[in-house]
Amino acid sequence: LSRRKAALGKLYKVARSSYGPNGKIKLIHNGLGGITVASSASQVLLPALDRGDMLSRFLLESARAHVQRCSDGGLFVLLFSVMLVQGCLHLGLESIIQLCQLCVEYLQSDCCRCRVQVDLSNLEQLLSLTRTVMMSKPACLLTAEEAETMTHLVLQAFLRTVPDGANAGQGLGMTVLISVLGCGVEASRVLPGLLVNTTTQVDHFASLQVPKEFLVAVVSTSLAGDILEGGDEVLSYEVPLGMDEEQAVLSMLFRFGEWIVAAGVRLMVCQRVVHPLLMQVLQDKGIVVLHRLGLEVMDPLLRLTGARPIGSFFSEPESTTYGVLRSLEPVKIGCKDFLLLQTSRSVPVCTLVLCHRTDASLNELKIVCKVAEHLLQLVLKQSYALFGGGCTESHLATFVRHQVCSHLTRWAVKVLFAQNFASSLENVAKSLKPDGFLHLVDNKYVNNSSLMVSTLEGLHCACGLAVANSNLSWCTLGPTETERKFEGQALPATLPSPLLLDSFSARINALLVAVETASVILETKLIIEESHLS
Amino acid sequence: MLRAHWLRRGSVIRSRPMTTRNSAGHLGLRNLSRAASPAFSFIGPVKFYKFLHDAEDLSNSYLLASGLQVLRHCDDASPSVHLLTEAVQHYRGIHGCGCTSLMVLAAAWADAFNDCLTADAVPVDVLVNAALKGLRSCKDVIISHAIKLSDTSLLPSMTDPRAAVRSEMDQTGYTLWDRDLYRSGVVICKGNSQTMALTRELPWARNKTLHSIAHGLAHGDPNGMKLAMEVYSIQARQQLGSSECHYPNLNSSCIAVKHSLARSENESHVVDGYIASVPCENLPTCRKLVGRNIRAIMFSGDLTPQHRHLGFKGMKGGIGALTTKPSLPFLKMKGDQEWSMRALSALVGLSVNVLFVEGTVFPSLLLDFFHHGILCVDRMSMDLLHAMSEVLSVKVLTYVVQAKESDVFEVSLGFAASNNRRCVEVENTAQHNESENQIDIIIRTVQPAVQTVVLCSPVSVKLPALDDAFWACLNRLSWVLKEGKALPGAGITEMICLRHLDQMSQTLGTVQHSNRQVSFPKQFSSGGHELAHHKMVLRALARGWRSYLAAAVANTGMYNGGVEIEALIERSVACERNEPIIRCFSDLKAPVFDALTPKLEGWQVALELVVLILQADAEIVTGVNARC
Repeated sequence: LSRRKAALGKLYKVARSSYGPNGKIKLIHNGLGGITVASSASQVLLPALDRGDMLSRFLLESARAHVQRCSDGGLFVLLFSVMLVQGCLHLGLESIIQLCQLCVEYLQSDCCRCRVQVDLSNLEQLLSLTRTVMMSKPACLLTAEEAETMTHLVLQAFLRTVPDGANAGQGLGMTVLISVLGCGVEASRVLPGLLVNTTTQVDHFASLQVPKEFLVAVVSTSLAGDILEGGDEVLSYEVPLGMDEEQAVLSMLFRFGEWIVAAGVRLMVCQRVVHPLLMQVLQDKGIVVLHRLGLEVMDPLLRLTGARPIGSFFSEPESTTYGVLRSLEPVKIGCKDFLLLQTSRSVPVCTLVLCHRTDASLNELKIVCKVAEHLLQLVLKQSYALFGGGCTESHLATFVRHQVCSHLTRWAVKVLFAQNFASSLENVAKSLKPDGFLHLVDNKYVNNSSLMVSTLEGLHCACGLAVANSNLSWCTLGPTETERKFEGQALPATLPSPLLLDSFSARINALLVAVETASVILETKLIIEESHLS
Repeated sequence: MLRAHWLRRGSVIRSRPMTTRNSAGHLGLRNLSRAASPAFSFIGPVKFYKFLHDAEDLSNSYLLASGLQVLRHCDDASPSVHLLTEAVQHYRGIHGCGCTSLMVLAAAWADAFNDCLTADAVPVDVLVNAALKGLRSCKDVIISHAIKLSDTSLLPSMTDPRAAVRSEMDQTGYTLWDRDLYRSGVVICKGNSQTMALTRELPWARNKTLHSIAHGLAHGDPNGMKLAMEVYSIQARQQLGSSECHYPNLNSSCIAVKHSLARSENESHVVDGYIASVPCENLPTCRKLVGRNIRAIMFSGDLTPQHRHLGFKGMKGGIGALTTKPSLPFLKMKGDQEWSMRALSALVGLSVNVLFVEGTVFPSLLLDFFHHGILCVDRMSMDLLHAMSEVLSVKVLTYVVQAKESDVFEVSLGFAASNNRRCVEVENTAQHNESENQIDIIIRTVQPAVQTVVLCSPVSVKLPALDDAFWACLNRLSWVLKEGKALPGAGITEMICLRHLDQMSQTLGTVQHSNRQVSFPKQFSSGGHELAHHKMVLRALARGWRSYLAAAVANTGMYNGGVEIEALIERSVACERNEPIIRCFSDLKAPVFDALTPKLEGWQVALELVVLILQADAEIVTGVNARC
């Protein structure tokens, strides 16, 4: 038993010290050498924390699964599970799941007072949600103004991917993230269309004349003049006597080139390599050839142009496989050259260019932007958000205590369990601030706040809901001898802004995962490990 | 002497806390400061080199002359050093100069912030915010002090250009514009006799601003800057029609550097053209080609029958070739010889005399070239080929079969006489490089596409140091020309920052933080202490710059000891005028300049690195080790 506690203690320390915007960064590197990564994000920390212990691995695995589904709250899962395990270790576990269900039902019910309706029409709330995510990782090294700019950019990119009324059935578009190392954060921008890396000089394209709308051929196979394996099938071609295979393939490539030229295509894009001879032939005929783009670009490109990928060069492509583009512009960001492909129809594909000076901060910024995008997408499914900054956790903790203590007959749950559950929640909320802070809860909305000095004037709660100077009385967060009233008021119609908001689905999922993991760990009585004896 | 830091082997520690509870403070910051501390002797106009030797093998020794070389040879495996090395390498890739200043500032700030954390107990978030804001506002102030190159107040009023040059030479005694140099800057093409420069005046050459700024950018390395100006004069001679105030850009990608051992460093010179070392057997070919206008073509990759372009994976199995008549055996070509014949006929058909190849050439093809009087320069750098292709608007080909008339360009050839300082074409005097049995030839294009800088030194271990110093001068000049702005150097910008930080500290208490937080509800963390902490952070920021200035001034040797230097810095900061303080004996009067963007970006990168490591509290080592 004590082994279990010790095993999880280290994970707890790491998770607690990295949690939230005041968390500390961890420097991760391989013992044998290699790059150093500086991050406090769960996407980076969880794979790096792989310990040999079975319980820790199980916990990390479930946290990782949650992060894959919801992107946010991995460290919350770690913290909450470990605290539940350590708190309820001697007590038994049947009631933890019941308590969890109680919380989830409350959160999903209409009388919940710690959630906010968020939808696409309310820009302020969306900005608050995005801003909370952007400010949550200190390794991004963003000042307040830069964080604000990035928030606007990320939200802009997301809103561009939401299809407008005419194409509502299509589904969400895509945002392509491009990172440029070396400029400051202020060089970041959102561009409509797709930005593509170019290996050749950009000026070359500036001089080419392309008409207003031109055809694009998107080729997904390799045009390098080699033939990939056919697998189990035996590919057979007829070759005239005296010609070797490469010549034969080259002649087929030229034939393909002729078809492309005849179709009036002005831009040919290839995912893989194009043979230099074919490229020269096409360029002499005035066609722009881009190659070696890679797999990640193909999806957005197909979406943008409306083309279908051409998978072989042996047969003539049909005219429906070509796409349409409006313009091809060279763009220079920092020291890198790109080409911007744009279309005249309103297609929900855009590019978010992220710039930063150091590699570590740039990677962290990329992670944060992906998380923000994912959470915004989750908002489309369940249009609620919870108050952040630890307010929801303190709210739930007080709720649980109140419910169990006041309705003892209804809930066959021991008071002790409830106290443990609630304390664990409160500890998670307290982890957001370093040690030494005093944590308080207000009486109106039961949201928490934390401070260091004793002046209560001008105090407001962590998420910004309970504003200062509005008849609040505060009491300490934690178990009290007397029952605390959980009356609370209903939320006002117009909420003060800015607020700290967390994603609804992500938090609920995190709660469920944490509780289930903790219950499994507590239930484990025997560990059987298969060792390879060789 | 710098000892090598040995890698700690054996114990892979799972996680190591960085904030130890002793007085030394943050482990990461201390590692950073320790790794970057040797660089303190490399800043300023006077540099003190360091020798690095392997404690066990004394024959392995290196001369360290710049911060980047220190990092390359540093064996410290701690993550802060990894991050520093990565940051410095990225910065160098973009800016090309100022790496040592970056390291010194990073070390100085690491020390200062470490003290803030431990002695003054400033909370981390306050430190981060205050430091970043402080630097931002200093940068804004510095940008307003930038000097524009087109500032006509610095132009001389004299009309005779030669008189202007002569007077400048008389005044400073500095022969930046050697008369012969001035002349050779305009005459390279064969056919033009060496007429005096007056008939082909370079408008900008009269401009004293450029000379004085280039001289000011030398930072204690007049030789390196002289070479850089020579390169620029060669590149810019084509752009004669531009106005006086417009400076064409300096392209650093078409410069090749050659190291050679010679009697003294003063023999370093610049050649308009590419110096190639070809085997002795090509001497008769070269003799035939000298002096004519000959045709050249460029190839990337190897010139062999097996070479395929990048990305070609080859034919995999599972493919069978069927013939129309199955009874006859499949005829195999005499592949290689056929290829050789075809390549040769293609090149001879285009009357190509010289080939530039990135890789190697097929031996039998080389033999054929020799018989046909075609010269082949192989193992060229791809960057140079790209630079030439850009300037001459000519493609670099992959296969011989692609060659067309439009891919051929004109060059001229000459022998490089390495004894002669100015490499002009000399017939029939080929200097043999006896040790390698090669001859050096110069290949020039009609427009100056490639320049070769020959760095000479009697000591071979110093050549990399000269190389670094030359590139630093060149990149500084290139940035100043690109932006059209320069900053006053010699410590003036740092003193402006110190003054500004003092002012900020004083006004901090009086002005209410009106723009405290843009849109974020702020927690009351420490109440009244916040102001004091903010001031401490600004003081730490200033301390970093003070250490930097002190190190640079101490290196010049003009003052005795630390106390005098500190007093000098305090005096200069208190005084309202901007007086340069980093001076050396040889150069007391000339103004010193610095490039704008590399300097400011260097500050930003250094501070962001320190702030990142400051916010780290543990190191996680992944990897496999059974023993823990």
